[in-house]
Amino acid sequence: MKKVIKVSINKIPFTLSEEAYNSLKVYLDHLRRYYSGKEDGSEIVDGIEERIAELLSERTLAGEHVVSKDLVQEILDIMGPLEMIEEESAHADHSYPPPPKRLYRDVDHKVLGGVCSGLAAYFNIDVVIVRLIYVVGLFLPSVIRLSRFTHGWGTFTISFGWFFFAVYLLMWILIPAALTVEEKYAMHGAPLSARGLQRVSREDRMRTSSRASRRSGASRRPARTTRPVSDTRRSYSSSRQPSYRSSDRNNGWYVVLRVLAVFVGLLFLISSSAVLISLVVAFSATGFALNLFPTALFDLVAFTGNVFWLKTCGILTIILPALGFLYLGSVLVFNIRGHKWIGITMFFMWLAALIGLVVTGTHGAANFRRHASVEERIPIELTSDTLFIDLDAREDFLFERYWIEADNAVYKLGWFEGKGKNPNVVVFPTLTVVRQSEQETPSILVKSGSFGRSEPEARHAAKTQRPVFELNGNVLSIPSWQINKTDPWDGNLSSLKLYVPADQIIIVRKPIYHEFGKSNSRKISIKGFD
Amino acid sequence: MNQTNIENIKSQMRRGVLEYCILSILDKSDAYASELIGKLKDARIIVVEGTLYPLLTRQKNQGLLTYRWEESTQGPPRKYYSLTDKGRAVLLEMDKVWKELVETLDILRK
Repeated sequence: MKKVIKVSINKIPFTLSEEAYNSLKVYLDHLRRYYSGKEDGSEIVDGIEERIAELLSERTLAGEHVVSKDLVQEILDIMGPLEMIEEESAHADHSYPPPPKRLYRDVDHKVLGGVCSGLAAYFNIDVVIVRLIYVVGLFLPSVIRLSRFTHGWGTFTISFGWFFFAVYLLMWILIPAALTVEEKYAMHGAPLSARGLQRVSREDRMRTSSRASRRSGASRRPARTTRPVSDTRRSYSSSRQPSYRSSDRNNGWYVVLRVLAVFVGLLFLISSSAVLISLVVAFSATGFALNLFPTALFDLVAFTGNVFWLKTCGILTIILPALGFLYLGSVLVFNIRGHKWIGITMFFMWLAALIGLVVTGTHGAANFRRHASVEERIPIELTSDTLFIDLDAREDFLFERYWIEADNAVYKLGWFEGKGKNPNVVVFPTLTVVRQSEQETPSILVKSGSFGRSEPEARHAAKTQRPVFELNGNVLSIPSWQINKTDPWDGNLSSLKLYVPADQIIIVRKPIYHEFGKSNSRKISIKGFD
Repeated sequence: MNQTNIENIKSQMRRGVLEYCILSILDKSDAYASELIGKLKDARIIVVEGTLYPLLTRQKNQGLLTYRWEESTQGPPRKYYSLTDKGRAVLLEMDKVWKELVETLDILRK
């Protein structure tokens, strides 16, 4: 028992074996695809289909009930190889301008996907050179290794091999294959002159003959490597771009514009890839330095509502334009034309992200609408000529990833704790030492400024979060406060101003030793992350 | 001159003559595509049939020939090709060129 397929060709019913149906379908589908969008294209295919039906009915009348694969093959041989038919049409366009040179994958000379051979055809260099570059690139050792920050957080490696591999894959996906005769001309950028015709037709003939020798074998394969229909359609539609019409191409202005387009496109390509690379580097660098992903910083700020969309929109508004310019650059330089919706979609996505950023941003920043500050001067009693200051943290101080700025008047300290998505920032109020005369009473000015939805809310926040201190004898203890996901920063900035006589010695003991000198003799300025 | 060049010249010559042949056939009488193919094959000017269809469409678009649909006794209606006035004029022109070419070759071969 064998499966048969009933079809109607040019309104005449036929019964075909499955294999016969498949090879006929491949043939006709290919023609339909080739002639889709061409002037009177369907007329040509209809004619051919009509003739096939005629030939088939002539032969089935002779006694065959089910059309076999061999019979279809015989008829297709009578009709001739697809290349010959297409070449006839390509020849018909002889009076038209040569197609613009475009980057295609040369699937006739492929090893993998025809990317290298396509590049070679585009740049008119030997394919061996391109392949050599690729293979060398693929096996280059991991040259760039950023292992400066290897305090147990792993290494950051850019492998050339992976880069080349990824680029190859990307090009395989993005660049359409040169399937039709027309596309092959465009791939070589050869005008439809005798030379170009000769070069391409020679290849066709070679393939035709090699197929003929294979014909005795199993079922006839599709004439060429098939690709999704959409690909070929896309390239047809773009090859009909009006800007590449003959009048334009012969015009001197066209050449100037083309050069300009390539130049601008190169600028786009370089700058957008630079932006993307630096974004990646910046993001990973903050990852190493602070041991957290940069977007986790959003969680530390007291935005209202969900921060997820704010983060997403923020990232998209930065990345989308870079991707857009990358795409635009590739269009201008290589003439790789994706679907027209790519650009439009990207633009509207970016617009949406921008609007989203503004909306979520203003919504999120509601907590920062008003600012208020409170001040209080507390007199203190100094029992000795030296005042020690202990800055107390909840946890033990990690001697990494801190920041400190100190001189003989001001002392600032803070650091990051915690890892990954749950960072914890430890902060102390800024200490400022103000020298005064012996007669004046020593005091500490407590200052706290905060944000809120309204004035009273801001004032309330400033009051509750004002720095506290404790004076025991000649030791001044100041606790830290923490900023994290559960207790985010609402914009509070606080400071302590010490009003002391000129000869008072002030020493910070914990966690980093620092003396407030009388002169500008010493300055601590350690920025962490080293 | 290498093989591909010769092939190229051969195919160019054949192409030109083929168009001339189609006009000549239609000058005598209107014909279906299959009739045309039959005659061209008998005259051994074409090997494969598929290439004829783009050619016919091109000549139609150039205004050299036209077609009408005619009912057939068996199966669906078929296209019946015929020469236009312009086609006839072009054919006369081609006849002249052909004659000249033949004469040229005769002179050269003597």
